[in-house]
Amino acid sequence: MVRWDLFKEMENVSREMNDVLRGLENGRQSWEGLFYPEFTGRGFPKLNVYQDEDNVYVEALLPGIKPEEVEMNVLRNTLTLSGERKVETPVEGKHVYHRRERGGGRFLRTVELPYSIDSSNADATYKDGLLRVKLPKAEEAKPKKVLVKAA
Amino acid sequence: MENKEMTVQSGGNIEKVEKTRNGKHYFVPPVDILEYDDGLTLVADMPGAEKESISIGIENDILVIEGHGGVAASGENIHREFEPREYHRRFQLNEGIDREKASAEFHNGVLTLKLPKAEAAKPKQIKIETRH
Repeated sequence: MVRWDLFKEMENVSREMNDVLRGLENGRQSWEGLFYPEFTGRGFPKLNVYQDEDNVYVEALLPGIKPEEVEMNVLRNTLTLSGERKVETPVEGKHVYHRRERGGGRFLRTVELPYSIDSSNADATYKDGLLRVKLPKAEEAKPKKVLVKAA
Repeated sequence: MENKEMTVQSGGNIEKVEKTRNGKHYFVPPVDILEYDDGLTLVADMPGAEKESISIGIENDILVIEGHGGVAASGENIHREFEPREYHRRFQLNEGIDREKASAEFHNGVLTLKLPKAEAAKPKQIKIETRH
C-alpha cells in the first residue's frame, strides 16, 4: 500500500518547479529540453518501481548507454544509479546538425526504497535501453506472521 | 556547405497521428539529425522498444518511424514514471534521398538510420583548370 500524502506531493511539485527554473538559469537546460523531457539532467533516467512479496523491481530507461558503464549501488534501502551518457556522432566526418534533441552528460539518481535490500543477491539485466533491476528484500524487512496463542 | 534543401522536416504540413487512436498514447522519440556530404543520419532514442517491433517506412516522401515496448513487469506498483511505450514519429523527406539504399540499426535502445543522398543531390566540386 502506498500512502498518498498531500504535503509530500506538494513538496514534490515545488521541487520539480525549482529544478526546472534552476536548470534554465544555469543554462544547462535548454528550453527545447523542456519539451523533450527524456534527458534534461534531473529526472534521468526515468524509473518505475514495483514489488512483490520477496523482491523490489526497478526499471530504468537508459538509451544508448553501455551496460558495463552504469554504476549501481545498493545500501540498505537506497539504490543509486550513475554513469555517463556519451552522445557521439554516429559517423565520423564533416557534418551539420539539423536537429539535436538527444542530450548527454553525467547522471546520478538516488531512489529510496520502502524496504531494506539484501544487496548481495541483487541482479540486473539490460536490454534495448531498458535496465531491469531485481532487489531481494532483506529477511528482516519481510512481513512475519506472529502466531497468537490462546491463553 | 550546408545544403538547406536536404533538411528533413517534422511538423508543419505533415499529418499528425491522433493521440487517441486505439486508445494508445504515442510517444515522440527525441532525435538527432546530422547531414554529411553523402547523406543524412537520423538517431532516435527509443528505449524499451523491441527490435522486432520497429518499423521504418517511407511512403510518399514521408518517413515514419514506429516501435513499441514489451509488457510491463508484474507486481504491485510503487512508483511510476513511464509506461510501455508506443513510439511514433514522422518526417518529411525530399527528393534528394536515395530510398533504396537506406539502412538502419538498433542498438541499446538507440535507432540509427542512414539515408544516403541520391547521386544528383551530392555536392560536387568543380575544378578550375589553370591554363599556361
